[in-house]
Amino acid sequence: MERRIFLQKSIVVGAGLAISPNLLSFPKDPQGLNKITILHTNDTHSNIETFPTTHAKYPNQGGVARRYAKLKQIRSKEKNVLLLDAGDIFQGTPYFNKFQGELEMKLMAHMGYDCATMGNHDFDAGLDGFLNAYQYGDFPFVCSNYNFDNTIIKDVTKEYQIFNKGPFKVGVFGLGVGLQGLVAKANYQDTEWLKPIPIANRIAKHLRFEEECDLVICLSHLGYEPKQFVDNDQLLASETENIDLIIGGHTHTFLPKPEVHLNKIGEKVLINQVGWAGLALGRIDFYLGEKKKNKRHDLVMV
Amino acid sequence: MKIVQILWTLLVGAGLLACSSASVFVQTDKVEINTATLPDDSLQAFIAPFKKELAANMDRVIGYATEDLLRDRPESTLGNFVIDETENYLEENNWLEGNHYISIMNHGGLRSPISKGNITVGDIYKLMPFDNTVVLVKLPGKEIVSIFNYLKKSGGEPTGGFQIDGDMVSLMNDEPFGDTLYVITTDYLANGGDNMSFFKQSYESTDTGIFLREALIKRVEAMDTLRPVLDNRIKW
Repeated sequence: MERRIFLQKSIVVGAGLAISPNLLSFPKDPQGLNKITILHTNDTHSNIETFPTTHAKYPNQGGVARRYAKLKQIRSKEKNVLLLDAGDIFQGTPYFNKFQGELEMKLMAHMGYDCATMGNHDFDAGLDGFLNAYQYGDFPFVCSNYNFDNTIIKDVTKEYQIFNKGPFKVGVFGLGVGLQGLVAKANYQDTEWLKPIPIANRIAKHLRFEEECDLVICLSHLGYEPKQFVDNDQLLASETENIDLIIGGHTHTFLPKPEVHLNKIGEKVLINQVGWAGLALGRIDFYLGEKKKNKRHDLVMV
Repeated sequence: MKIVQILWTLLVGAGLLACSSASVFVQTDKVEINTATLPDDSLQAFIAPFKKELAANMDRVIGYATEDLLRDRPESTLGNFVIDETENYLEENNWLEGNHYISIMNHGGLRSPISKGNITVGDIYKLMPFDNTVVLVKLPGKEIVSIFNYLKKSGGEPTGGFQIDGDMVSLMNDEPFGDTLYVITTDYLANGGDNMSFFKQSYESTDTGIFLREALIKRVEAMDTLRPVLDNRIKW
């Protein structure tokens, strides 16, 4: 129903465009341009340095100092930026084996990460190792379907985090993959894993209607397609509502661009994932201009 | 630029019509990180001391090899070193609980030889560049036949805890075969790597979370002097 209304609007606008060429010359930096830029990484796996020229698959790609240079460029142009990570920050280079996650956390803090979720490899230093490394992280971890109550990281992570950016509220929550069989028991101890989809529905609804968030983002380490377990981002998209964007990880999937999926009630939801190792930064700009007045909205790709 | 103009047209057009559902316009981009972007100096400087310390760690001497350790079939000094010291590490850290374990790893997993002389942390990293962990598996006792057949076909893999002499298989120390075969291996093989299909029959599998590489570094440090071992554990 809502979609049909929008399509009619497009036709009207299209017609207007044809007869009013002066509409094309709007000011370049108009006031009231309410835009939020979401930047994201996943599965960076302790990759600090740019891959060497001799790298078999990705020569001269990645590297945190280059990522940070890009981030600075984008931040100098955009007012409202959120930088997010979908997990597996740890493990993959000797930097992790040597410094046990300290450097990764320090660099993420330095680069201004706003929020992350835990991937299975973020348990690789054990819960005490995570806690130790995290003293250098100044951004929240959102873990909505891990119950850490009976562990030493109780109350260290959050169920969700709300960010106020410009006039808008953005709610971010995080979903993690099942740990049994994937992570050594000694490393996750009495962490309880909860089924992600019911939790996603509960939290997304809360964020949209109780907290009145303008955007709801899920950081998911479930994977783009089923791997060890059935839960995955495509299923998450189709079985939930009130999520605008799923930022994925775990499967190291290089999506050429964010995919548009339909949720449980036929609304659009985006899924994106940018491979691994920090080879790319995902970027999604939301123009929330008229959003404030409405609880529901329709995503329109331009 | 054109996209922005169209977008603005759409925004204005949409704004003209009152509607219960807002339109949120979305633009996407994939920002490639590569050498086209110059690295940020401040962050490079921040990383530098860590990089230096890491390099120093890689060059740290942890032991001495009396001879070259090389990879070969049916058995080899390199394979026997990896197998025996992994078992010793597990034994020392009470993982084996008094059970007689056999070990199977893969020839292909030994990525670089260890040369006679000083052994550095970097040498062990070159031998084991992958983050493989040590896994303990329980198999039905009869799977020893599948293991034998696999080894016969491949010509030999790094093994331990049992001996093959032609068509005869026996456990070391005259241990009898029981209903359960306790096996030390890697997560890669336990999860189906290299088509070691007998691991599919496992009825219990424990990932110790211990990196094979880390276990070897600790053992070389403890032993100090490494003497190559060849003991006819596989003889066709």
